[in-house]
Amino acid sequence: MHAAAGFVSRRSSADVLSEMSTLIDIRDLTVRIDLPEGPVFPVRNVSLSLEEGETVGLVGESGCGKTLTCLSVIGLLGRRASIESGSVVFQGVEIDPDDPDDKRRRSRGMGIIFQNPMTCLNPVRTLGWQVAEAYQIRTGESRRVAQRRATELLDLVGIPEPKRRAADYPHQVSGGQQQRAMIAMAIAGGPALLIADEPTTALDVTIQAQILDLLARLQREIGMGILFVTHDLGLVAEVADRMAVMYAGRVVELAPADALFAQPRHPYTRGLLTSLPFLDDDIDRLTPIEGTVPPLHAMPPGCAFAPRCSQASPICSTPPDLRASGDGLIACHHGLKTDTVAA
Amino acid sequence: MNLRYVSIKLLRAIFTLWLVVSFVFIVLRITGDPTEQLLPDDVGEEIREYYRILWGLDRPVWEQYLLYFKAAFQGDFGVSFRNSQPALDLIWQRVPKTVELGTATFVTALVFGIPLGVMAAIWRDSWIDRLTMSFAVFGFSMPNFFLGILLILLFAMNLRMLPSSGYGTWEHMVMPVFTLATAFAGAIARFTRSAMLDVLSKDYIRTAEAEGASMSRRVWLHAFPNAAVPVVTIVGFSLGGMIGGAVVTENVFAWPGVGRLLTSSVADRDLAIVQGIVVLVAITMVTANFLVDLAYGWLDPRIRLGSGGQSR
Repeated sequence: MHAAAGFVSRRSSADVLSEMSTLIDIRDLTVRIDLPEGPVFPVRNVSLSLEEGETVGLVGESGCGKTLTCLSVIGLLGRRASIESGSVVFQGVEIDPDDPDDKRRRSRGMGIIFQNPMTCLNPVRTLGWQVAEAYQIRTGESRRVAQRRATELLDLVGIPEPKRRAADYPHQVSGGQQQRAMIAMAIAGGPALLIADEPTTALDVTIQAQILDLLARLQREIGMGILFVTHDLGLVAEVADRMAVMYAGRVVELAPADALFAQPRHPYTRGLLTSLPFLDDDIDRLTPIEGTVPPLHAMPPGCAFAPRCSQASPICSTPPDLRASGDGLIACHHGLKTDTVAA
Repeated sequence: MNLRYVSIKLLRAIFTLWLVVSFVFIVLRITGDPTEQLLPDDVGEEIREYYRILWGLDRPVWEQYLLYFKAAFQGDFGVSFRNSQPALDLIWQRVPKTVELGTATFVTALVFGIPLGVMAAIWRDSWIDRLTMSFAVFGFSMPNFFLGILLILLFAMNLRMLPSSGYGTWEHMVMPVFTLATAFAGAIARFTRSAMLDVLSKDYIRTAEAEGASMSRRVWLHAFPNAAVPVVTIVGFSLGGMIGGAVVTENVFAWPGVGRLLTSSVADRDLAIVQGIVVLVAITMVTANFLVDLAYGWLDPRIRLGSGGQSR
């Protein structure tokens, strides 16, 4: 896509040389929310990168900090949450959250889709208006060009009769079509990164598959990187190149998708996988993970998963760092033992 | 906007109108004899009886009622008991002056109320929010007559900047408009603020922010059209309060409009005039509500097009 290509060329040559293909680099990110009881840190020391054209699956339970991680990448934390420390480097240049130029750079270079398309689309504006606006803001094109482009985009995301649908309001089309329109808005103007925050959770299973196919096709055609956030491991298995598993605000395992599914190394990831129903599995019962996620204001000082972990030992009271293990990284003191147990 | 929707609204409007007119008609007939008010105390009973027959007050109330409606449908709202001129003409002469005052008030209130409410919502809990909300509370807790008198004291008596009463130049309008618009603008600002606060927290505003829409774009193109429905509602409702306020304000500032005619006619028991004005006010209110209903459909495609599935 032309706009994406234009983006690359705008960077200085030094950046291009040093970070040729890294699209987004989240470095040691900590997010703070001030509650009446005191500050909590729902995202802690998260480091995660995404190459151009790559799909990274970010998985974890509700409340593990995956959505806040996305929102801090695109700069939508709002007024209650803030970045406590760490940084986000986009296309080789660190983002300053307060710099209006960086704000523009971010909104041009990134698109985001959310869980519930019905509430994310403006009810009093037509689909065409909303897609055209996104295109117009990102590219600075005229309204007329944007309107024509909006119809093409609606067509691109697989909305039938795009010309007529462009005049429809969100409430007139189905949830699946709404999500397609959201995707059209997010990719209007050709951003280099698409953040998909639980994009299929609110949709029927058949529609889920269609949306996944659409995202995969768009990625092939446009070549954007996708940060795919979900709590559904089975879903992300189909699309992700690499996987990051988050637990209680930290990344606990980072590995190529194949490796992670073949041989999960972190006890939490293993717990997640055994709690999943796979059709080809020969088991009668799913094994839930015992216990619950510790509350934000009472995080244990060491490994947050230790209270629920069958392998926990005294060493788990010190926080584990992300270390290399097999093809990936895990944050667990018992990483090496994992190999023998899993094998 | 389908025909059924419009006709239901229309029928309801007519019913409301009938209810109001009937109520006022009956209340006016059972609360006293106009000849007591209008004729000198020393006139004889034959003369009173003569006027009762002239004005039709000798007939039973239900008969007067039917006759009134019959005439009203032919555009005849009776004659003034005071000078025998047709009531409709007398009222109609006053209407432009009240409309002038009302329009100026309406525009002033919108021009101040909406931006203030929007700003208060954007910068919630800031000084501008607190100032706007203090102004709003002041505005609609201050009785019109009191605010009017305070203004006269300050600007007419002490500063001698503005005429204290009367009609003619723009200077005559300043104080009456300010008096009336304060309460109206306060109510609009409050409702605009709460509607905007609600809308600004919606997911689609976050979507707009993600795509890089500027603050003014998000506020005026994304949020405000959604907040407009509750704002229009309160504007419609406030119209009733404004008409009431206009009666008081016209009297305070000796503004020669319908409001003053109403108070003097009530005092004199000039039934035809009072009834005519009540019908006029009721028609205004009913029309305003009808327009508000139409505006909903215009503002919100979910109302206009109905909900549910692919409609085409």
